[in-house]
Amino acid sequence: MARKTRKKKPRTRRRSSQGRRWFWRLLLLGLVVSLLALLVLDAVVYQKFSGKKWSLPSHVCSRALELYQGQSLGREQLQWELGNLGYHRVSAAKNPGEYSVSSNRVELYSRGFEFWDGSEPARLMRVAFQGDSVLGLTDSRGAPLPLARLEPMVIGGIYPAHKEDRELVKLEQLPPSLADGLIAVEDQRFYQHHGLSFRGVARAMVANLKEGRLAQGGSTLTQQLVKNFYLNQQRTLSRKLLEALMAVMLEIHFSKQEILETYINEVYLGQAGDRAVHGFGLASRHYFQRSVEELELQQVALLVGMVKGASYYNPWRQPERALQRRNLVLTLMAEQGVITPDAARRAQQKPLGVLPQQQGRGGRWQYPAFLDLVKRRLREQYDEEDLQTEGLRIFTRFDPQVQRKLEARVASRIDNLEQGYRIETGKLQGAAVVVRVGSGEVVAMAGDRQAGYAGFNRALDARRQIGSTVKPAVYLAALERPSQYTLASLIDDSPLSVKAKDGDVWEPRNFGRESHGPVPLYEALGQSYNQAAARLGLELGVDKVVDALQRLGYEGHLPPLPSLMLGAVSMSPVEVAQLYHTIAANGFYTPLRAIDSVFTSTNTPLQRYPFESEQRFDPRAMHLLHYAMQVVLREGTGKSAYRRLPESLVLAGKTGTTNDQRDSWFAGFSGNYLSVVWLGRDDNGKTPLTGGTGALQLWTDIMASLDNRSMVFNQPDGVSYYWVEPANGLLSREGCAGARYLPFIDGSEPRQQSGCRPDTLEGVIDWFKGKFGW
Amino acid sequence: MVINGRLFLAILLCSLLAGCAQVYVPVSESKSPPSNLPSTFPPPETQAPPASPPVATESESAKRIEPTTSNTPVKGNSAVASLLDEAWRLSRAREYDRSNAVAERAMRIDHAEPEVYLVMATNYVAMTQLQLAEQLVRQGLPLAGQKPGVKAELQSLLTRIRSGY
Repeated sequence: MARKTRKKKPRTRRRSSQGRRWFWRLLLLGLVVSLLALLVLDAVVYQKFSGKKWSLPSHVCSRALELYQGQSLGREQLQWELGNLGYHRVSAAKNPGEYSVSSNRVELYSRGFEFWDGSEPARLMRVAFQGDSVLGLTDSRGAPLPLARLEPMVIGGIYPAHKEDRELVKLEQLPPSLADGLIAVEDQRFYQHHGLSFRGVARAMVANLKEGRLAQGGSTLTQQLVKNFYLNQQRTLSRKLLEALMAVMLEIHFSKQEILETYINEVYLGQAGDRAVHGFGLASRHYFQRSVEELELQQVALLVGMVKGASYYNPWRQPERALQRRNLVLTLMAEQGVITPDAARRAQQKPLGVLPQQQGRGGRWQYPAFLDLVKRRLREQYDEEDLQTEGLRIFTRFDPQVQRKLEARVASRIDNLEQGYRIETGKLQGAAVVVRVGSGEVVAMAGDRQAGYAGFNRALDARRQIGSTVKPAVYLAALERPSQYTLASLIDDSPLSVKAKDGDVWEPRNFGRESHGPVPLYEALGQSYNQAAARLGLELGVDKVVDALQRLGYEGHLPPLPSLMLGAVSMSPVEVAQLYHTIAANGFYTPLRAIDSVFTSTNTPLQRYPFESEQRFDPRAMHLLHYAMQVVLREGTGKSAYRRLPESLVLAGKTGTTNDQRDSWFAGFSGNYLSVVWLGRDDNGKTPLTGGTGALQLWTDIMASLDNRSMVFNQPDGVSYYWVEPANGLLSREGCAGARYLPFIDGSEPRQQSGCRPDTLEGVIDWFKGKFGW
Repeated sequence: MVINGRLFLAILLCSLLAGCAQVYVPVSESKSPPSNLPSTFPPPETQAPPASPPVATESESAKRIEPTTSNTPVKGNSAVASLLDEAWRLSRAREYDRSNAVAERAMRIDHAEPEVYLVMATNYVAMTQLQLAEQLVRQGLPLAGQKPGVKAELQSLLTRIRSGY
């Protein structure tokens, strides 16, 4: 036994020593693994924090409002703009972002802004009004200012899948009370601890024990940041340990200022529709529509208070609770010496002062149709991921003032037409595009009768037959051949039929089923005679009309069929706007632009979309077309426009109606705006509307609401005007019966004189002069 | 006295002819809008032919369709002038892109101002983008009728561009 025992003892010792060895080996292994894990963790902490911290959505901005003497802008319009930019009405503007109003004057302190072409300084200015225009613009000393610019308005964004939105701010931008207040409320020993605060944990434990529930957290700001920035929201022991470790690591690598700034940009502070509002920068715009620099003490306190629970203290849903929390924060700030007790008391007296909820930035962006256009243009050049994550700042030419007028008119006119023509309520739809003539910039767009509707965008996607809206291309193709066609050429408007290769017979008829015999070309367009247009197009050849449409800017497929002459081609309103802009710009093609420039998230200029143009038509032929398109509005199918527009305003345009009146179009322009309107039903059903009774009415509403100038109708070199007798196209004289003053490309004018007799005093004098050589 | 006599004769003949002169009558409209519509509702797109032959007596509207002798004066001329000054300054400083951006601001206020096209074309010439420059000159020239100085500069620039400057 003893031997046995003796034999056993060394085995036990051996086992014990083997066990110890294994223990040490495992311990060592464990230490190595832990060390490696710590190193990996440290690398993760370091890399994420030192690299790009967030996926930043891109933000889309409107045009910047230019202010200058003589501008068509009323006081209410300027106030509307300032309100949307988050300017605050005060008794006397003293700081950027403030304005005051008197009977005919607005004094405003603009915010500075960095534009592509240079900086616009923040400055105090006075804008005097006379009616709906700017009478004068002066600086703070009363010296005249030639012009000034306000900053653009943020009108939308392009978001990553997680829908986090934030506006990055730097510590130096913050009001002093914000960072200090945050520390006073959330982590009083922030500058003393190294990521963990045992005193804070102990204090929280005591408080929790007293309350018998989890009333306080002992996490430092650094721990909170780690939890939000790196980890999930689980409340497990292992996660708490990990959080503590990472907090210490973060404090080792980064300064307190860097950690605080990141916290201020990271923290969740609310919800805007499906987008999460992160950081104080965006939160200040979301709740107060002002930049973080402009926050007042009570506003700072509310946001600081909401850190504890943005939903729980939501000032819109729980205003009483939010107010109590805000006032508690103010008390804490006073106790910690961040503010004086007097300042706290004064701030506590103030109301919450948040915006009405529907104005909170981006519950839903207001201009989905235009944003749709911007996104499509951007996707032609940028990756979707870059758009969603690189925080690009996209500046557009969108004009919110024009847009709001457009939206109001689209909604009211469609309602009015439905009632007037007894169309089933809600069946009639519409789309409209407004383009600045010359620069080719899309300034406003409606894709639905209902403003703000974010579904099917008819302005871009409703491809409908354009009917007679195509005719200017047919007539332009003719007028480019002055040896064959002039405005006085007689076009036969009698019935015709064309047999296609497949045996089908095409028999176009006029809208009124009447024929007019030979009519002058300008009148055929002005009255939109189908038979004349079809015959003219067939004489020219379909290929010539296709070529004209392509040069005008249409990039889609064009069926080379005779019916093309009457608009049997489907286009969207924005495509029609492209064609008509080339006409409005005197034959110079400019690709329609929605975007002006793109900046990086750090405000570095990235790309500009400059103005470009290409001459595609002879200006002489274009002058003749402009004449005929004025006839449309003065005497033809569009003449009802002048019932509501001033006679002195020179406009040109064309109506369009398709078979069974399924589509009602009008496209036309002044000297500075081109508008295209489509009305119809989504199910392509019949309507009682023609281009004149439907779209033209809305077009007139839109144009009447804008500050229009007469179109430029200068007589180009190589064009001369002659009095002619339209019935036979012969030369006539002023004052002769029926004589009309028509432009001709030199060499194409009629040679033969008609035997007219003058019927006015001037005509008689001319006649006598001619007869007797006076 | 001779002239007065001729004038008297002219007036006499005129008053005799006045009785025969046609008076412009607006064309009739084939359809009336539904009676329940507001009075602002227009006639259908295509109207019935005029009651008289196609050659109606010249209407007041038709008289109005005449070429303009100058571009409509634009409100905000001082703003345009100030922007053009700035665009030229930037152009001289060889900041062509910024200069063009400023010129585009002027274009938004008045796209019929020919100097806008001149400064932009000058910038494109400096950037040796001659095609773009030529197009801008072509666009500016028809607008420069009332500004002989600008017109001369545009023409001179066009000559330089075409000579491959």
